[in-house]
Amino acid sequence: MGIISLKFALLVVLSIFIFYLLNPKYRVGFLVLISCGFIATFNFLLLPYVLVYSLINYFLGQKIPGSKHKIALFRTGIIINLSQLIILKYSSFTIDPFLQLFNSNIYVSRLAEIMVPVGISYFTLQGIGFLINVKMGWEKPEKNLLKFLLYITFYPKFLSGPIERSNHFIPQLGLDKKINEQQMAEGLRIVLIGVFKKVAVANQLAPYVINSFTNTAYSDGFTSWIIFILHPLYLYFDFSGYTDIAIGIAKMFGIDLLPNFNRPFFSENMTTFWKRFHISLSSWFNDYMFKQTSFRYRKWGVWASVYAIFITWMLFGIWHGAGWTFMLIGVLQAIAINYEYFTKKLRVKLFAKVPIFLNTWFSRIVTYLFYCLCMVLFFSPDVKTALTFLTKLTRFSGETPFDDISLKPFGVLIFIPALLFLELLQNDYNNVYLKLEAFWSGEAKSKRVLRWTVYSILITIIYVTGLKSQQFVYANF
Amino acid sequence: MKIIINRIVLFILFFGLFSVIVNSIFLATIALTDWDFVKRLQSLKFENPDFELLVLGASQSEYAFDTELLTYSGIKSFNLSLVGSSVRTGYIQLNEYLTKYPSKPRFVILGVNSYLEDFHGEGIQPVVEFTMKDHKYGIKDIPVTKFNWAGMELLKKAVLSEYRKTTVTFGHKKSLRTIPDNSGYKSTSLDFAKFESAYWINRLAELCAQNGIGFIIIDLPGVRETQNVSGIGPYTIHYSDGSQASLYNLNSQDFCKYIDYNKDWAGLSHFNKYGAERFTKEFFKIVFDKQGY
Repeated sequence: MGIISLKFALLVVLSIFIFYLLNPKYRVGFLVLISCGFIATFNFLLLPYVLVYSLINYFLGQKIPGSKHKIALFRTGIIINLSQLIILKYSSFTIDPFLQLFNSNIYVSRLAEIMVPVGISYFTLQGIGFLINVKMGWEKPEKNLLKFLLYITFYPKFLSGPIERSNHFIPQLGLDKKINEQQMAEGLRIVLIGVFKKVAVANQLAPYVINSFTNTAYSDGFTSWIIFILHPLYLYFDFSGYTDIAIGIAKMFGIDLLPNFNRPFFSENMTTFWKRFHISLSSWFNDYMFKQTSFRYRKWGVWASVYAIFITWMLFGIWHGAGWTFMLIGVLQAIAINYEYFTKKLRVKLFAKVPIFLNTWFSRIVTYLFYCLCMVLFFSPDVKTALTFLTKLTRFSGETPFDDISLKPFGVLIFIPALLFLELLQNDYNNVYLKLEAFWSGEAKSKRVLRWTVYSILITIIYVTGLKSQQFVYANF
Repeated sequence: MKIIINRIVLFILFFGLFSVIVNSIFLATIALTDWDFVKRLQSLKFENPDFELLVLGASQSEYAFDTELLTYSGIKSFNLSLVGSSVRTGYIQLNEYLTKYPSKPRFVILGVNSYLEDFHGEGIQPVVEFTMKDHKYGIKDIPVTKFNWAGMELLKKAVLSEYRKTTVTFGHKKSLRTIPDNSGYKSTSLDFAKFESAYWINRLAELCAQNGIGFIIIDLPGVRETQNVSGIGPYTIHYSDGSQASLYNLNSQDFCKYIDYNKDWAGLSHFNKYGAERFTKEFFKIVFDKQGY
């Protein structure tokens, strides 16, 4: 079931309506049921798989705290979690080549074709995160099986996150929630913005960005530069659109999901960028990988951090998929973050006399361009294609997609700057933004009419742009 | 819950009212400013519909045939071509014209680019569909969706001065944009079968034959990569019902030699004002000399 579809919209409306009509003690069960139904729409085998996966993690979580074999149980849990991820997601990269060394005709990767394990990268991290929390004593394992099942399966976040933490998500389920007009309005507003980002911006950029490596018409230097610059924007509006939809729907159920984006393109270095982009994933890797690894090897001094950064970011890259391109993305992040760490004092000294405004914007542009470079690897099918694309950037010639007389992506030339301008206000001119927000959320009738007019304009643009279903990029992971 | 449902119902009503207002304003605006809408409305109430030549086709044809130049050269002409028009739309337009006005044109030209176009489309150009007689209006006729490209054109006009400078005279769209053609030649040939099997071209030929109108198909010049190595013609296309059409392959590399690839295009095989003027002069020499005009 596509997120941008009438079926999904109906599912959301009906599930919210029934949720609040139900006796509070049945609500979690109802959401589990709805979420299971949602998962089953992708593949009938996926649902029992996810349920068995959840049960294993649940029972291990129950056993770990009081057990004499705490470490063994914990390691078993981690091995089970990683094994199923490797088998269903990375076998073409790991197990199959190994088997072929022995002239085997067995392809484990075919299992994934049968199972269609959508959302596996997300729920696996949630499962591992839960086991680590329990083992470290950071949370008591949830006894209520339904609550744990909902933690894994909750349908707004199942496909592409945000990657929740059990100690953040589960405690919210115990509360007797009453329908709250403000919360409902806020949820709807976030969903509307999410759909707008996805339909009116990301979907309009998709034909140019997705085909950029295969469409020979886009082989000129100018076009390649435009595509190069557009890659991060496309990914951001696509993924943050999905995240907004998930966060908005969850809010209408009275659940706050973890944030995933915080004006990433106004970051002045990659270290900050990753605190603002796909936050739930980068913070997961920071808490469960980087901190644990650097602590474990703390005797190495500063090299423990260097080592931990490389391990963390390589795994971060591989999390996105089996391939050298993702591995390289991870390595590039590790190099950039280490570079930023080791040269910080020198750079501060070097640029001390440069005006802050210039310094800030120069840093932002360099950070953005570095991310653009990483995105070439992200969207390329292989490293060779990525390198071929990068060589095109050396030519400053040829047509651009905007030479098309019909100039189809004209709308996004307005929407993207408008959305980024709002982020800029929030980031750099927070006082102005807060004043605007106060004005926007006023109770006066005139302000309500203004809000409703803006919402109506957004709905009209979404409708006009076309509600064609286009796969979310991060639903592939 | 009751308050929320009330609020949602109120918003739906507000949105309904908003949509009616927005659609009305949008329709009025494009009816007054959109080149194709204005042209279409003009063609439905010609004061002197004594044209000797009518041009049908899509946007490439609309940009290519300088009907103002043809008129001043002695053939009173009007370019009925519209953006996104199908051959079927051309048939509807001609049929409408012949039914509505007593005077019949001597020639009807169908401008196409067989390399880029599919002749089998059954869709009707939205402006024509919206304004044609006996059209049954439905949900698909909501102006902001039906004419969303016209909204984009409005935005383009608002932002880009070179778009605002585009003019339409005698139905010919004159653009001042210049986009060089950087494509290279390919060794393709003209696909005659495509013309012979095109149902709506056949219907157009039939309609012209019934009314004693000379029917000419022009395969329009495109950028270098669309041009073919076949000869200019003319070729006669015969249809099973006995009707026929003269086909001129003006997308032949032979014919296209006069094109200035740095100056004549407005983008993607659409002539700008200068290219159209040059094309129309060459077209006049080749086609009307051979038609004995």
